[in-house]
Amino acid sequence: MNDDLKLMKETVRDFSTKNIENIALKIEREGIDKDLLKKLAEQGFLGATAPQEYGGAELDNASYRAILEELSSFSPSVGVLVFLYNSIASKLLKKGKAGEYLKEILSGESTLGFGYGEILEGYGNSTETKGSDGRTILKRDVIFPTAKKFIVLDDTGENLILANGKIKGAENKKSLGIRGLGISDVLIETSGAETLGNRSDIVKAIEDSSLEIAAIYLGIIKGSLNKAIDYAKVRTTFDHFLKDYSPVAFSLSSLRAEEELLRSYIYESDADFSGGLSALIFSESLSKRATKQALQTHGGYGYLEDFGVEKFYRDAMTISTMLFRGRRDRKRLSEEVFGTEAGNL
Amino acid sequence: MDFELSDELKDFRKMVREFALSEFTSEVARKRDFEESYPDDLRIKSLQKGIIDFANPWKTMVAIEELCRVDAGLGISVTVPYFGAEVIMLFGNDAQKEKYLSEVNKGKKMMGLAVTEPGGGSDVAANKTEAVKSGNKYILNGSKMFITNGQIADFFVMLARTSKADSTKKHRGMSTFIVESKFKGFSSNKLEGKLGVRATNTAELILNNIEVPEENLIGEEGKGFYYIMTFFNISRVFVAAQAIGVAQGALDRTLEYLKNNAPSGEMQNEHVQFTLSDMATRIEAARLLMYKAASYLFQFKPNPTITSMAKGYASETAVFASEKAMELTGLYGLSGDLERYFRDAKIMEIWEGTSEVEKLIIARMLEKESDSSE
Repeated sequence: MNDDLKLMKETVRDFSTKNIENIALKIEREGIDKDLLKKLAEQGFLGATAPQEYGGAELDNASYRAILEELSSFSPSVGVLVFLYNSIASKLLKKGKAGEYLKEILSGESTLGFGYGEILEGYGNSTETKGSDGRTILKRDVIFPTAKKFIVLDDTGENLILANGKIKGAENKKSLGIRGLGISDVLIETSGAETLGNRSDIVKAIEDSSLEIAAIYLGIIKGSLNKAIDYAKVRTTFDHFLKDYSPVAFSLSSLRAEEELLRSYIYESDADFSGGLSALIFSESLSKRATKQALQTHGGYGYLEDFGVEKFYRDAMTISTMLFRGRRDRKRLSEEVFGTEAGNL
Repeated sequence: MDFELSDELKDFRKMVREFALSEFTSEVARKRDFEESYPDDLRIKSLQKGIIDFANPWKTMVAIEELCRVDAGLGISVTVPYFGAEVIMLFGNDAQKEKYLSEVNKGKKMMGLAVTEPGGGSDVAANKTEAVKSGNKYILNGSKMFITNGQIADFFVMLARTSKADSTKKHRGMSTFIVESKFKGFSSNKLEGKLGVRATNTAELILNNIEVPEENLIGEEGKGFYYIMTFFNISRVFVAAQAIGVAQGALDRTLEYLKNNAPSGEMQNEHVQFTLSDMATRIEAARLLMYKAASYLFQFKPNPTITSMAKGYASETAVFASEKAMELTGLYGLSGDLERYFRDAKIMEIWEGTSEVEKLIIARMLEKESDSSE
């Protein structure tokens, strides 16, 4: 890792210690607030890779991954927001009013949610219902449902639109993960919406972002293992520190070793093989194992939100469901390996 | 060797399942989970319908499994008011049984077990709560952590130190007491923000100069650690039942999705089929271990090795199955009921002795058994 990248990581870490760590529990309970959005914008994190004319910082990919990793190690919700703004919004919101809106969200002035499940899973029209006034449609599983505007599919289920919308029916349900953003139903107003492109544009944007999603997982792995390793050094049971017991020491240290291998791949590989899919698939599985072990190391305390470790367990599974495309990604990797169609049956 | 439950138990299982399916609706489960509120209405209803029969351990085990299969938070809530009763049943005197247990049996009172302490976890011998004899009373001081029913129980079976810890034999000098929540000096703080089983009530207990009458000492002074370990050998079978319920419920709901809601052809994909087979095989193996542990235990020949194997393996299976269920159902699981299984399952590997403690027990028993067979 070169010095510039090290400096970038240090900067993000300092920022996170000052501005995220102390409110991490509040983010989980109440969501990411405007104050934090402003600070993220001022640092250039919100628009890390976006063009300068829209208020972006035009950073290189390695710096962008460093931001995703470090932010996610404190709050995966914040990491996912930065990812959605850079890897999706910045690629879709370019012309006219949409471009103006990109400026607003990258400055932290406004907010943008995503009809994500629908777009990626393509369940489109089947779950939409017309509102009573005939102008609104209900969208399920929208990320950041409290946002002002949303990227969703239009009536045909093929085109992407930028539309106004309002959260609906979230009063008695918390999402499993990324609670800083939330996942809920949203009522979308279709009139006056901007057309942005085709559904496949987002699918492609996600498929091109394997190493960036892997960087979010890497942050989750790092954040959860940091907590577990710190805890194992101070917590005693049966007269010894947890770290002195071989099962605890061996499992946490080998997880950390796997984390290191993943990190060197994410920052140093040219990712020719499979375009980063190998890192994505490896990091998805490692994030689940690491967060589970980190929670277990904390025992009963790990089961309470105050200790800030169970959120990683929830978030790893949530991100895996939303961003990682499970069998489809494994099939893509299989086709890379076999050089032909594979894994259909 | 017969792997079938009796016809009576089979009928009972069916009745419990019908009760759970009609009462533990998604709406109720989600509400209690979201609010972190205890479903007292369901506790009363389950008693009225004969779902809960604490005097019959086989029925209790089957009920716990079937209820948790539909929802663990609600299932545990309605089966946990009796938690700790075996300590009084086995080691208490007739007066204690009459005064305390009969009320619990009738559903008029709730109880709890107060063993774990802050920073103590599974290391029961490290307990610090003190009970000092003063005339015909004991004065209790200390605190208890992660206590199920902590805010709603009428009384607790509580472990406290009656003589100073000997550095080499720390488990000596501990005693168990019946402590009523209305005793002066007792207070509790509800623990909020649990990952799962959020319908259950969990609290920290503060014991500030509580005066406990000497007739509330259970059994003999100094034998508390032994009583509690005996209890865990019983309760772990019931935790296995909770865990198997969660695992089976996760599989049920995954199959329901694949048959009714998934894109066509999902069931025919071999990756999906292999994952389902693996879930089902582990659940079956865990259930057989539980039956074996229960069979020993309910015939008064407890086998701690098998019991710890059953608890450890069943809880691992609950975590495994709930994770696989999420992977197979994707957004359906994320926005539906399955995500709750994923959150509920993890506590199984922590309470009633962590998985690590179960493994230690198994290894120690293996060592002991291999000595005696020589």
